[in-house]
Amino acid sequence: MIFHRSSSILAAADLVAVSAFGLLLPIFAVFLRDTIPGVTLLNVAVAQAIFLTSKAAFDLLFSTFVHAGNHHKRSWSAVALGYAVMAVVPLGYSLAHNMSHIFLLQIVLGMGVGLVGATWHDLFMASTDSQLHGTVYKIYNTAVAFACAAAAILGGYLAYNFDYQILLYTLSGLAACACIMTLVAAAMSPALKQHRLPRN
Amino acid sequence: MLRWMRAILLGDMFYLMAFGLISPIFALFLQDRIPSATVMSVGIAEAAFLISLATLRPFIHLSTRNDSRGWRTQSYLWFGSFLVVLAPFLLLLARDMLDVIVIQMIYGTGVAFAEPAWSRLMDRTCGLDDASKQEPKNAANTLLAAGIAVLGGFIAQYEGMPALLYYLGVTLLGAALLMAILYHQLGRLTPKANV
Repeated sequence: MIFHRSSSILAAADLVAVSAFGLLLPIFAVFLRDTIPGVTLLNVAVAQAIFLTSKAAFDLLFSTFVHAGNHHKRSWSAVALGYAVMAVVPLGYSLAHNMSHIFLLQIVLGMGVGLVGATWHDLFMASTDSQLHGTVYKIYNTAVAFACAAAAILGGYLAYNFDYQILLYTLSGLAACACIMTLVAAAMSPALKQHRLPRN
Repeated sequence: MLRWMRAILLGDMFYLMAFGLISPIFALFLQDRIPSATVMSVGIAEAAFLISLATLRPFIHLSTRNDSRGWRTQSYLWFGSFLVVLAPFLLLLARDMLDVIVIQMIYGTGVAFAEPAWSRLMDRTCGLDDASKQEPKNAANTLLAAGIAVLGGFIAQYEGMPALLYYLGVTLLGAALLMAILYHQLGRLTPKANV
């Protein structure tokens, strides 16, 4: 086995979460124009810029926080919390009425992605042979690209034939699934089990 | 050249490719310019890019893995960059969604071919093999992408989409030339067996 079962579940959780956001991201600009009155091209670009700035800031912040203390416990908590935050954001999109709501939600989404981004890679690679890191990561990247491609088509289909609300609820549900999968993976993680043993 | 400056310049190219100027408003661009564009066809266009990238990526990486002199990687860089630079200008000529899907596939092919040279430059030239050193670099690149996204929105809003596409094409051309020069320098500075 290349890596531990907890890492496999963690990879599957990330694949689910990335695919979930792949449902909406290609058509996010159209979604904004269809649901929020008075949207301009500049507004859409600013929303994207706010997300990226928030992601960069929280990524650095949480990375410092996680490496400062109990690394394993904080890492698993950060990933699970990140997916939980990402699950809440689509529900916020469905309730948003103007661009200031969207800007605020983009900051929250950046926080969720920053939480996951700061810690996920370390956790995923922790139980992998260091010589296989490059190969495993390339295989994973290819899987993510195919999953995002399928998600882009599915997202367009859902939005075209049904409604944006259904798309947002699907997205939220998938991110919540990723959060639950991370908690299951954390329960199976050998590093966390070792950490719990001295208490007995 | 400063390592950090070099890392940012290299990252700049790929963020321009992946997230950059047009990505946040690409769907609106399609809906405004292509009469038959729907959310479904926008999703298919995005999928065409990702599928072509993901299909070609393993083969390109395998064929350049043992490229000890780096000439093949460099050739791939030139070819990939040419396709990437071509994409914005082709988008200006697109008349229906089939054109856009084909252009997206050309764009994905270009990114797949240019990627190995880019990752080799990042690893060897910038000395960023250590994961802990990559965090500030990633943050700097993400902030740069944020600035570029706003710039793209501003140009599209006040100058129009064609102006944005011309600007994007010219910027990509500059970034590709910069990459080619840096890769050539790397080949001269590094012993041939290790390139």
